[in-house]
Amino acid sequence: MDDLVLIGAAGITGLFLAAVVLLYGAYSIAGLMYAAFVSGEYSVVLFIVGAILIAGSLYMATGVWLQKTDLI
Amino acid sequence: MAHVLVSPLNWGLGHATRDIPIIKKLLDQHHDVTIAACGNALAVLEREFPECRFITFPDYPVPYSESRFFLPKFVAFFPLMLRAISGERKNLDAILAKNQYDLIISDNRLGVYSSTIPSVFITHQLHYHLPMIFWPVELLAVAMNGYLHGKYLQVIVPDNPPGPTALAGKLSRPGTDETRKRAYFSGILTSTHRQAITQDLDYLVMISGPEPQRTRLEEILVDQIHELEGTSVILLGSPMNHDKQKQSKKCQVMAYASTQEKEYLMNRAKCIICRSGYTSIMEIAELGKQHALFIPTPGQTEQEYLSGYYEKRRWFHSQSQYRLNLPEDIGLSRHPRYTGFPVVQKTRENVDRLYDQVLAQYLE
Repeated sequence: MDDLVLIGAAGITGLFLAAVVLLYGAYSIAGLMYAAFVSGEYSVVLFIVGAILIAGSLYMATGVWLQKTDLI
Repeated sequence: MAHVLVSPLNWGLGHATRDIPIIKKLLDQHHDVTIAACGNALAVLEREFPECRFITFPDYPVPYSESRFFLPKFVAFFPLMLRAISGERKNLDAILAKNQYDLIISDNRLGVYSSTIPSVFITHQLHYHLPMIFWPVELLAVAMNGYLHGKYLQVIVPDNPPGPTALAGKLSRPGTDETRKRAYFSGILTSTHRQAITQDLDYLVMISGPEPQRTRLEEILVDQIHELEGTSVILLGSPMNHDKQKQSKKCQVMAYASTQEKEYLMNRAKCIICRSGYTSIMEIAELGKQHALFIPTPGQTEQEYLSGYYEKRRWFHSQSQYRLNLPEDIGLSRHPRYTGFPVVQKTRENVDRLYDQVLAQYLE
């Protein structure tokens, strides 16, 4: 098989795998939060929400930094 | 005399039309040119160059979406694209086995290159623009582009070098060393030329691009055009819709115009209203137009980026088709803060330089 097609196939597989891992991660975290909420462990819920906010902010800040430095 | 294989992508006519000056130059230099393309791109080039040899060469499915959310459909199209590229590689092998070529020119056709024949790639997109939330994918695309450009001896970019006069902004900025060392910035390439005629038409509206967004824009603009003072021509870019042709005192609606008619109308126009596709951008830069209003195709990240970039540089005003108010936006587009594009070298000089500095070494 042509190497361009091989690399393309590997890239697409990687993208779809990353999407599956992300979705699975989101599903697991939602499950954890739900379990903590119904058992009354609100500090765990707050911890997870805080962690999501920090991770989201870091992700977006990296995007802004990449734009400001003309890397994307 | 050398033999050149030219293969433009058939996603719209932009790739085929920007290759016209290159093909003309090759023919002027007495080289043989074979054109491998499909669809409307093939039809346009057949009309323009009856003396060339033509091969029907299928390309990729068009991933344009009916909604404004172009990206998910584009991602879902990746496997289909890959299958098409695989077919393209096989078809190219068959084409190359039948004839001897000295140079391959691929205009945005990812699989058209050879390890034994010098191959060059034409693109104005060294860098794909995505919404910021997808920055890891954008970085990945930069790396993929570097790998892809490594297949070619040179990458011809129809834009000025990165800097204040680059018309494609970040799109024409190389992101990897592989791309950087191969990039040749030719300046704009367009088949439209400036004519010494009077600008007696107030507005030329060019409606183009993929359906159904083309029809949506047609409905919006045909509705609003009568609110403008002055004369206007609307090109629907839809040859099948002859029943929509109309003429009133102020406004003429044309279903379709030939390349020559369109060039004449563009030269006559004081203000051009069109999509922010890069082909139209190069035409406006070639003609040195100072007034234009850009309306990006919803969901096409390239056009949305260019619209935003021109607003930021204060070259031209842009407006989304969902928020368009023609009298108001035309008023804004005439504001003195919009200066038009900087003066750029024209296609004729660019193509001569491109031939002398890049193409000639493989042909003579």
